Amino acid sequence: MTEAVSAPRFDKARMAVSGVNLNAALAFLVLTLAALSLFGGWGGSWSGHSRALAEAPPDIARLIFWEVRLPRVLLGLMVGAVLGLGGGALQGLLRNPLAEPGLVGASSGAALGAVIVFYFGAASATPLALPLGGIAGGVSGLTLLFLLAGRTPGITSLILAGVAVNAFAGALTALALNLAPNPFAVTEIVFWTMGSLADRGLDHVALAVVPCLLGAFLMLSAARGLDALTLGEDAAQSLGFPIGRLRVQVLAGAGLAVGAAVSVSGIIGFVGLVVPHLVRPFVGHEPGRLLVPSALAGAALLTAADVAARMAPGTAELKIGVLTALLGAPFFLHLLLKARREQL
Amino acid sequence: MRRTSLMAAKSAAAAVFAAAWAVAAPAASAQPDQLLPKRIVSINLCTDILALQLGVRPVAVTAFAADSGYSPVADVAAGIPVTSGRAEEVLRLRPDHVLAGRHTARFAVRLLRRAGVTVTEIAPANGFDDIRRNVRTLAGALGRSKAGERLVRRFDAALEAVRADALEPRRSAVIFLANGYTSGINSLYTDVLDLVGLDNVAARLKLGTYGFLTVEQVLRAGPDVIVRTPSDPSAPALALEKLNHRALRRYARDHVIVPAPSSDWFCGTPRAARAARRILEAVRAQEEAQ
Repeated sequence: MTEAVSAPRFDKARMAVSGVNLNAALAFLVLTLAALSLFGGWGGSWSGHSRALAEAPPDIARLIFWEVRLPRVLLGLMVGAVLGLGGGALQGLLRNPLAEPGLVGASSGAALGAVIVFYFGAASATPLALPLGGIAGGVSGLTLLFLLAGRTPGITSLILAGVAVNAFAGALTALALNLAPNPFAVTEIVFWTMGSLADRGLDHVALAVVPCLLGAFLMLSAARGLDALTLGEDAAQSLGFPIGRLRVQVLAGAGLAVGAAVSVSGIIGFVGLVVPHLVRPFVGHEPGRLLVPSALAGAALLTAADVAARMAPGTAELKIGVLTALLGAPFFLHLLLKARREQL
Repeated sequence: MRRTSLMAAKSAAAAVFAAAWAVAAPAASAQPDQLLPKRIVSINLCTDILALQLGVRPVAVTAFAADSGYSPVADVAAGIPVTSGRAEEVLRLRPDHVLAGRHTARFAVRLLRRAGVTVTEIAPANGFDDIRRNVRTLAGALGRSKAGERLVRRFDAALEAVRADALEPRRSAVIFLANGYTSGINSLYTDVLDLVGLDNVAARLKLGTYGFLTVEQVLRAGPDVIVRTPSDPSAPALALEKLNHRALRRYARDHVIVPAPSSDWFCGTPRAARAARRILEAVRAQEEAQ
């Protein structure tokens, strides 16, 4: 039930890669993937369109680079980082390896909030309403989950409460889209449930960047408190990290960052679940040390998934959440089976 | 689905009011009067529009017929009862003639035919010729052949007027509609552009008749003119937000982006001539402004 998932096996890897080296390596990976994403895979094939920028007239090439490709890559980095970080922080706070923004109701709540402000005209009047709606929804989803599941939920109650909150928020999202005045709204449920970075502009990056940074700051500055929490709530309290304040800090951070991210990208599931588990073998089991690598690995994973989504065959572009779910769902099952074995 | 919530109420009302709308198509043609359909129900927006343009008032139409965003005859359709197009709802109106699209409501059409109702189907119009054909088909089926010929003549005259006034020299253009929907060869959209003096670049992109474009693909095509779906701030959707992409707003500084109302050419009707006229005038106005 704690995140102590088979530690010894990875000790060698841990010794080999110190925290700083790991972060440097991940940062290098992120930059490499971002560069690849900027120059390749636009328009269905890797090679066929990578020369497009060079062939276009210079002013059009500049426009494509700065206003189409760069915003998309930036958004992928930002959303991926926030989801990975959110997963790491929530797993630490709940001391539960299955916690992630998608499961704990932050993402589905955020989608509901964003849908309500977007389709009924509030966001056309004030663009800032979009991230604010997402944040309000994300925080509400998280709050509801905690009311349902309790302070330190076990795996079963976390999953059950998560299923309930997500089903409820999902149904309300579908209902809102059905009632929306624009006939296209109904079909856009695919965007809100599966997520996409397609054809988003710098204005979307600008809308989400401040709450994402604020939320990330809140979660990152909870690192030492989360480490202390592994010793138990009382120990954390005596070390100067009252559980109440820590909880508010992490949940507010996750609500802010994930809420704003989902409001511009839709729900992209499983990143927050998979990423902390991928980096945990390299940093060990202090949740505090997990946060920065989780953010970096989240950014890398989502950037890679976005390139793959662009290059997938088909008439319309693949939604990015399809790829992360294809990767994440089997991983989720693997974690569940592992948790069951450890309970026996 | 602007009126979805009203639709249930309206369709209930439709059954009640149906008797009051005992509208007979005026027997203007040579057909014997008793053969003319008297209770016409249209279950497709495009047949709603064509019927109303022919001067026929159906017993019931679709909810979109009175929606000015999609229908050029919204004011005429305003008082007409609405159905969802489901067979049981249509049958309750006891129609003797149903108008439908060839590729929509297949199940309802089959049931209606089995129940003995005459159904006239209209294929989607992929060009001006198809519009003329559809007008004549529908006019013939409704006993309004003369009105049909008049409508076709007016349509041809309006097209001719645009052709005489077309852009010189021709410009390149891309159609970029809601969701990035575009149209290449062999479509009504391309016919309209061609008439105005615009060469549809999508025909070069080998997209076939219909397809979807990303913002980057549009920019790479680098057209002189982009024809788009207008924004609707009161009813936003991602489908339209994509067309407001910042990159396109920048592109519009030294290129022409023209909004073309869906109601003009969403359905292939003689109203397409109006789409051509509006696009022509908007391109001229913007080019002068630049």
